[in-house]
Amino acid sequence: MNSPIKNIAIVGGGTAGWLTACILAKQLNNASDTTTTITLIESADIPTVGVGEGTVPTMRQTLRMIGVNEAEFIRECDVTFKQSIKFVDWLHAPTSGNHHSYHHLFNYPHTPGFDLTPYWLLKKGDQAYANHVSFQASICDLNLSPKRITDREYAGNLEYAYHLDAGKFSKFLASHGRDKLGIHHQVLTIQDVILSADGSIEKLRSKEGQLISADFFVDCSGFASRLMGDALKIGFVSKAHQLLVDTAVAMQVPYADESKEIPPYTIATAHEAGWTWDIGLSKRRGVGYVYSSNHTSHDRAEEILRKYIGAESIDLTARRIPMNVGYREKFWHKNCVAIGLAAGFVEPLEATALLIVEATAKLLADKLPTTTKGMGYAEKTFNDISRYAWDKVIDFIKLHYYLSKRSDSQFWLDNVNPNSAPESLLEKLDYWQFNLPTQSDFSSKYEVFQLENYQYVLYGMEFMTDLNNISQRFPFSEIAAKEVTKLNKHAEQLQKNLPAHREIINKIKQYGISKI
Amino acid sequence: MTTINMIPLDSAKHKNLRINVDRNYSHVSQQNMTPLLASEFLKASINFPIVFVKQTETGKFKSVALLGLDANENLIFSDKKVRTNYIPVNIRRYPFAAGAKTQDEGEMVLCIDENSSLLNEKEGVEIFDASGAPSKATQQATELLTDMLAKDAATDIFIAFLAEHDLLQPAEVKLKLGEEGVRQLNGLYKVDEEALNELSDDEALTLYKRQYFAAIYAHLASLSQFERLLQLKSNFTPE
Repeated sequence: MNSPIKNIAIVGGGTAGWLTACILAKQLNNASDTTTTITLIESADIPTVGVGEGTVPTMRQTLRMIGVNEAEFIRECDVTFKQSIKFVDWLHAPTSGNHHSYHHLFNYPHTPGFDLTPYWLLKKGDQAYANHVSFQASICDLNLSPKRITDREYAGNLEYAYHLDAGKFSKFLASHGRDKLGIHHQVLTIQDVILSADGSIEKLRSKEGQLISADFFVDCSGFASRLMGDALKIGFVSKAHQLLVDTAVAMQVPYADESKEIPPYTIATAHEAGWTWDIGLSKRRGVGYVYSSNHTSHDRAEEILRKYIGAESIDLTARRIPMNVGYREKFWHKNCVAIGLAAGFVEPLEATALLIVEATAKLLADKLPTTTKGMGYAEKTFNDISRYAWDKVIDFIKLHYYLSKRSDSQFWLDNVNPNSAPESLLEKLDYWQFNLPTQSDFSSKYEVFQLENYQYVLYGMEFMTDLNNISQRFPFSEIAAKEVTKLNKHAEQLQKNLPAHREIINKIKQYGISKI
Repeated sequence: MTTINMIPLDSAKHKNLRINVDRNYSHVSQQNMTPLLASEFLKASINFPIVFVKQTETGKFKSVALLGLDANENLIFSDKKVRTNYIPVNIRRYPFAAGAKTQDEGEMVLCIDENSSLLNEKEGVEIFDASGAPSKATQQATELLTDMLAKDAATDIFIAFLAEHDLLQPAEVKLKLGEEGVRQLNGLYKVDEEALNELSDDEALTLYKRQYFAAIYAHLASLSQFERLLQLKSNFTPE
């Protein structure tokens, strides 16, 4: 049997659901031809989790691709710019007010035809790795914007992503999807999933008694995983033995001083049993503590969070969110794909939640067969790529913990136990002790985190790659030194020309951003 | 060069001041552009290039007459010479300007550049007459500025229309400059002719009814004046 795939039903109206709907609508249809019908079914009763207030630079391409006006998005979702994640206290526990920190920048390290890393490693100067290979670190530390008001939409002098209010973002995407991309929206709560004889999904029945048929279903129902988990019985692969955190406690912190500068980066600070995220939006801060409930109590965790925030937390209530780290055994089964929390979850350390939604929705748009013929091949390819991508994400998250020299709590001791690290990470770290990480260590373009991301974390965490016995392979030290001088000069110039972060956000809200 | 200090005209403080007339407009000799109203495009277009630039404070487009090709270079008004048959209003109005009464209010008042070398107590036209009332010249300046403000608002609407309909594009001007070779001027924008020709009937009718076509084609025609600036530059010695 060969029948066309023309009706797609997406279950779930959080950011995953709406982002997927917008990406599919844009890729599969165009303004004059909406042959593929995309329907998003959202429950009025089930609250969304609202993961991910942080994004990575791919979000710029995604928003541009689906036709979003950047200034409108910034206005309506309380957006600020993000140029880096600053990791604090990950290498050492703080001692008498001394904090180790490093930047994982969005601008890739400067490469003047060759990698500056070995020269930094051999010279062992005082300058931190990120400051040595990029001008973006100083821009971040001065709380400057990645772009000027005269720069066009989605373009900047530096790479950037966004911090956003996830609740407002899904509402924003919903109206964009309905008004501009022709997405059908139904407010219904799914009660039953009706399977056909071959085990694929035939229909959904709502609490209200309505039947919804479609050729293809996308499960964006969050942790509940109503289709992939509940109905299709696809199991869950836990990664709790590698990534030890399992709970988050979060707060929304209003600004005491509206004129205070907003950091243009996420601050991820390590604590005794996990780490806090600290994200400055235009109207409030989002702060949360992600921790291992096997290593600390919920009360103690909330205490850590309040201590981190300080006096501003006194009248605020905290919200606790249990997390299930891992992913589904399959992401595509028969005529159903799971995206977002329904597919898997890792802690929000590198803003992977929305990143993986974007990547898998684009992959689905790419692989979704036009007819049922070829469905088996598409399923297999999608599952292979997705599983590989998830495993690599887990490697990268684990890297942040595994390189720590903290020994102040059982949490950190357990985290640096080699038994808790994936073999695929350990073998690379072994190799990199005496060999440079290079492109060929990251051969798949479906790896979300590439060489440059690893370089920032490895050398930010003072990982030792010993090149002393092969220093003859790096003969360009003079050119390298000149390039670094040039880089510093460029940094100085940018520091003069770029506006303050809060100032540019206010200006964009007032004046908008030109498309050209 | 002294900095401009625009302050509201004060009948007591400025009672005895007179304005010397400078037909050479040397106060702009260090400026390479001046704002231009859409209503001036036709007359300006045979003298200098009319382009759109982004304002550094807001990122919004403004139409300007390009008067020089380098920073602080004015090829049209310099050397005590005027090489144009049309003087833009924004140059003609000097030393007067319209300024907001207070920072928050929209109400405008007549201002004067207190640092202007044109001001003195001996020569030129008086600002206030013997009875202390605004002189005829001052009244004319008020009229000119009132008219300019209205036309400036209309120009902003015209430019916003162009931007909203995706009718602007980077101008990418490349100049052949003698020994220096080819130089690209960045940050200049022009009307996208292709997009203009692809407007729907409805949109084209709107443009016609709002009388935008004259300004658009005057702007496009003015782009050939880059050649004129180049010619002037080749014989130019800075002041």
